[in-house]
Amino acid sequence: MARYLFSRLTQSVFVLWAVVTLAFFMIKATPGNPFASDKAASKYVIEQNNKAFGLDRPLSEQYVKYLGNLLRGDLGWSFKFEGRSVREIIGEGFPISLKLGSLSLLMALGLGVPIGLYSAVRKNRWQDHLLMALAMLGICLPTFVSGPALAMIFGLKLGWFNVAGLYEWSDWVLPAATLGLVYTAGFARMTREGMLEALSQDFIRTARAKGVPGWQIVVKHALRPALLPLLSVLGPAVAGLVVGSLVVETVFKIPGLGQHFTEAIMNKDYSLVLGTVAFYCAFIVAANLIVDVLQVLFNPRLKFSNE
Amino acid sequence: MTAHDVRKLPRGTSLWKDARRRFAKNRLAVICLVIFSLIALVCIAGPSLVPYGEAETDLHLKATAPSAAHWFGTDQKGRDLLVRTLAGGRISLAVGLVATLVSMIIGVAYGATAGYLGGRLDAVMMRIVDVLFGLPFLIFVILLRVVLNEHLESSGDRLMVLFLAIGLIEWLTMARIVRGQVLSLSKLEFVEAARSLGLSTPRIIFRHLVPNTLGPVIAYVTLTVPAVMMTEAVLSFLGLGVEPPRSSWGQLIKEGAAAMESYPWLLIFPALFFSVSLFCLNFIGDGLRDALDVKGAKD
Repeated sequence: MARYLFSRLTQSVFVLWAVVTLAFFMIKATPGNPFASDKAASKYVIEQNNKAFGLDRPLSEQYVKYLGNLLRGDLGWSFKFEGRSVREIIGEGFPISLKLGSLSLLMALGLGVPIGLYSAVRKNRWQDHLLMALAMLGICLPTFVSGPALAMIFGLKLGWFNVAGLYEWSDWVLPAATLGLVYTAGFARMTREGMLEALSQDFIRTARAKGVPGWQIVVKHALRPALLPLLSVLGPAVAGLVVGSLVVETVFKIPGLGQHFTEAIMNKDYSLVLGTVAFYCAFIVAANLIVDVLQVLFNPRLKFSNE
Repeated sequence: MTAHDVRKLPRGTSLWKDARRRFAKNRLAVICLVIFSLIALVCIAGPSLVPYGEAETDLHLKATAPSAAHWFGTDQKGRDLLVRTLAGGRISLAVGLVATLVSMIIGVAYGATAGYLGGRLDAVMMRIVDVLFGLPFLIFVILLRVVLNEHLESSGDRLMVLFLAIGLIEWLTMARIVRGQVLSLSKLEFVEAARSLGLSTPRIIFRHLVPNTLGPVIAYVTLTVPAVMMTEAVLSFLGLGVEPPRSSWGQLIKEGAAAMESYPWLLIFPALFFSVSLFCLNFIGDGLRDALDVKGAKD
């Protein structure tokens, strides 16, 4: 286990370095000076700004310095919000996005898994067909359609929730439901397939032959192998939630990291863009690492092949 | 045996005939195929049949609800929404097709190479796929768009880049499927025969192995198209996809969502076309997957 952990850790660090390097040079390859779009930017001001941010140095020097600062957790200063560091902005936005993502993930697990199990037990009956058609609908309805639709129905028509901003606890419901819907549907389909696969295994037949009651087979014997595929997509799901939050935060005007990121792109605030990309990637790589370890812990077959 | 006897023998069946029969039995998939074909047809032919132009504005009209003259209503600039929805569909479907083609080429080449060569190389190549799966690729497409938008003058070029960029992120599952297929195929006798004839490795991979993976590839391509269309719509929604005066379903949905309180039809029609298309494509893909009996194509 220790060796496995070490190799995964080095791999994660390497991936992170590659991603940050790629993002750094992509940003630097963008022509145009970020300060040139300011209204009253004289040549002198632009030069001063370039100097202050170190943009007048050779690219290799900037890169080494950036990596060095990154190791110390210093992401530099925002180009557009004067006197605010990128770290400060991320620190403000991320908790909001994290809460949104966690609520959505909880909803997906709490609703999607039971739906999938029920569907699998009722395979090919009308309940199964209905639930799976609904799940497909959930997957095909993009968040930027379901979000405004939910806002229109529950916010404007029924008046139960506010449709924009974050002021009270109830303001979390619609955004989390919107983002969670896609994953609820995806998890339901995956749980159903995993359960059907598990139920077709030899050890289930053995259990049946020994007279174990039906519900006990599902809960005690098939549940764990059925949920393993779900565990393996949790890593990509975290990446998907990050991207999904970009849209949902825009739809509901939530001041999370996603909105800061899209705004930074529009504003050409490249230090903030780069810092956010680096942060996102670090977060996702860490999440993947945790999921990988969990997988080895829960899957006896993987455990065996790794030791 | 005379000719008469031969005719009495049961007719032989091929993989494709079997698949067609199985697919035809799947009622939902067939219905979806019909609906999607209709949508594609009206999007291709429709814009020239509607008596309004895509960018034709009527500022006296402004936004009006659906009527006999404008079946889907008009937007704030008095543009006919029907023609805009159909023309937007053309772009969305084109993005779906072209980007899927790109992803197919990359995925098949990558997966077949890893599967045939095997060993350490295979392990490393598939580990790379695992790692890439976990990364927020869309963010890099966004970065790529930002970089290239400043470099490229013509919006046509930028559209091409959009096609390529989306294709570049959707090849991972395809690579996994093809690799699995090739891995099992490459142990069969015909590959051994090809090798003992002294054929080169690329020739064995692309002439002898890849054609045999066609079934799973077709099934998965059908599932990639909706994924690609979704990516395009997300990008357009964030203002980083198709640019005006061109429109795509994602672009129209974005405009519609902004005005949904006063003019709900601007959101409803494009969203309906988009979601129904995705819904149908997913079920067609599922149907093909079952019909061609593809394994390992989940997730």
